[in-house]
Amino acid sequence: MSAPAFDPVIHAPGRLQICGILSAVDEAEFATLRDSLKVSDSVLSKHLKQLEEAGYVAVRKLPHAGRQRTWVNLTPAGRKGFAAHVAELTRLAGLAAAVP
Amino acid sequence: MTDPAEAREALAAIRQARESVPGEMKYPVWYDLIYGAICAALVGGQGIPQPWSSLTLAAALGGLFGIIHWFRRRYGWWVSGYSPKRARWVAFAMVAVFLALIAVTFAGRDFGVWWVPLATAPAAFVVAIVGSRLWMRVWRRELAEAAR
Repeated sequence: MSAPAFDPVIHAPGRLQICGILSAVDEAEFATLRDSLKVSDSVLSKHLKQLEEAGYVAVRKLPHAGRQRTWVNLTPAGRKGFAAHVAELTRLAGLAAAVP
Repeated sequence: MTDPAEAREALAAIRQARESVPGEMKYPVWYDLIYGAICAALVGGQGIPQPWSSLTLAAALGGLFGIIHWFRRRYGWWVSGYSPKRARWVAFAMVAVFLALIAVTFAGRDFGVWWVPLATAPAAFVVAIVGSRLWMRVWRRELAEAAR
């Protein structure tokens, strides 16, 4: 169990969902993330760039049928950061339940 | 951020995102049948003479690579059976059963009991299909309970 730690890079709505999806799988394709989040290519690229710069995701391009497909996965640092962020959210959500 | 209501909303968004991965995914019956056949070949192939044993092993590994490739292309994501914290125990149990079946198959070959692969291969076929469906069920539950 990770120590609770709020992470502003992860917390933005789009990035929170990206990390949520990537935490459930080993890797996901760019188009799958885009369709799940219902955002444009450019918006997703921007989110991924920020996560990549923070060292939370790794992006790789694989050739397929003459085209390139982009696959994304959470790095170990990303998994740790996301787990800590979820722990913090859970702690905060629990505060309300504790109030009589 | 210190607002518990916002934290709950964020947790709900995470849960929804995680559950959206398998979604309503219904993979075809042929996927199960081919996966079962590959596992049957991996197990039963150990009981037949060379070079057929090695050829069966190569064909089975090629088939395994092929269906993984198909799955990734079809669904746009991949998760190894050993990655999810809870569902991985189903995968470990399946490996243990397969190893036991392979050991029995080897023993059958060593003792000259020709029909052993005819028993262990169908057993591997059934274990593969039941195990993969069980794994998917455990994994879905694991995703649903995450961030709750």
